[in-house]
Amino acid sequence: MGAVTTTPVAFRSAASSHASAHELSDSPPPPPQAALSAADRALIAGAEKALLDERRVLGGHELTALAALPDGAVMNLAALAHQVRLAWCGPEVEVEGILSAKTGGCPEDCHFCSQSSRFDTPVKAIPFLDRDEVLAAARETATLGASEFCIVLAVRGPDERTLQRILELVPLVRDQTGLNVAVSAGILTEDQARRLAQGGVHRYNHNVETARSFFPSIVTTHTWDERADTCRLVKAHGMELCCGALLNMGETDAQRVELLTQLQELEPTEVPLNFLNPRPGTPLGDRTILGAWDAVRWIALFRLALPSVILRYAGGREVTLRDLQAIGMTAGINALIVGNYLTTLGRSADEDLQMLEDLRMPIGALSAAF
Amino acid sequence: MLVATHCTGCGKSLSECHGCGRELDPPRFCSECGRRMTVTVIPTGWVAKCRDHGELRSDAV
Repeated sequence: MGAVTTTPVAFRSAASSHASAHELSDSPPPPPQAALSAADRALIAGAEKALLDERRVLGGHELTALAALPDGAVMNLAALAHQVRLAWCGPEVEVEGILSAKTGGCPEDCHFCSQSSRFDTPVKAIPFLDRDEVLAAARETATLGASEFCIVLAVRGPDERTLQRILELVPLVRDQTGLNVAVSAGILTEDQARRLAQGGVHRYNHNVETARSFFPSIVTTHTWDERADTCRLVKAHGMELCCGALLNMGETDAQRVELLTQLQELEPTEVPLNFLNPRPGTPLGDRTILGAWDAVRWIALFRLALPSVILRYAGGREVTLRDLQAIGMTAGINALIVGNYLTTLGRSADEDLQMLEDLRMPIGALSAAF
Repeated sequence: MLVATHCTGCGKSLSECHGCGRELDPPRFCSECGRRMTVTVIPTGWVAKCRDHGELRSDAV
């Protein structure tokens, strides 16, 4: 591990590749848009025509060309991505709260994760929270304007006892809070997927995290294809698929485009977009943080590749985008996780809700039916 | 009144570490004994428990 992205497309300063994980990368502001060549402008105009006039999804070659645009194109990409988001999804922003209902002690070796039992991290394992703790967290989430609450468990997949607990909690949370209930509990069997769907799980989260070609560098205890199989089971049994990505683990830009085309094939309803927040004790603990403008570029590219998905701001956005978080909201994002994450804290819900108010973005529930 | 003697980010004595915890991380080690705590992160806060020194909640910090 420890490879850095190699293509010279965005704001990857030399400083960021040498900084320690505790330092924030220092990416420069984007150059003026006037620096764009006629060919670059034509490329963006072609994407605009495809997505807004023809309502056609872009292919891998088109995404590769857009990803290679110079730094000065980032705001152009962001502006187009915002138009695409409004045209395909509407103005609403979906707000979700998440809860780590079973923390740590996971047997898998996802190199970014502080909950793996294979790494010496500060996170101590906690068994499944009791019913009242989960309900209290869901009620708090409802007060923040959320429409979705995700119960997350650090497991390879649910055993029978865990599945029973989930099936007990889902209707309780839904009926007592009015929230849609999502679940993230790892790899599923067909029977488990069926029972979760019948039990009222609205959306099931199972991230592929990265491109298939890069996945073995990040996880060795299961395969990308096993994750994709669970994603397909989720959809086959009628649950909405939430399938996200984690950027900046050492993947190349070509592998990010590969991931986008693989997500296009999986057809998720929601894509949570995470940025690596290096965790002490994990194999990726010393990586640097992605540059803020680089993050904006890739938010826009995710929207251009996946025009109809719920594209959610997720973990790492505070440390990656810092004061540019509002720009991300106008670069294709139309959902966010409010409050804290699984083992780390987010900024206050008040700050996020104020940001949405300032941007005049209404909060609403989104679904696969647009 | 109890006095903090350990870093809540790594558990080392404050003479060895003056605080490596990051802004958006909850405390992971007891500030009094340096023991690793069980920490439950909830959407609006966190609850940290030390076996010997009890419970600390984000709204009390």
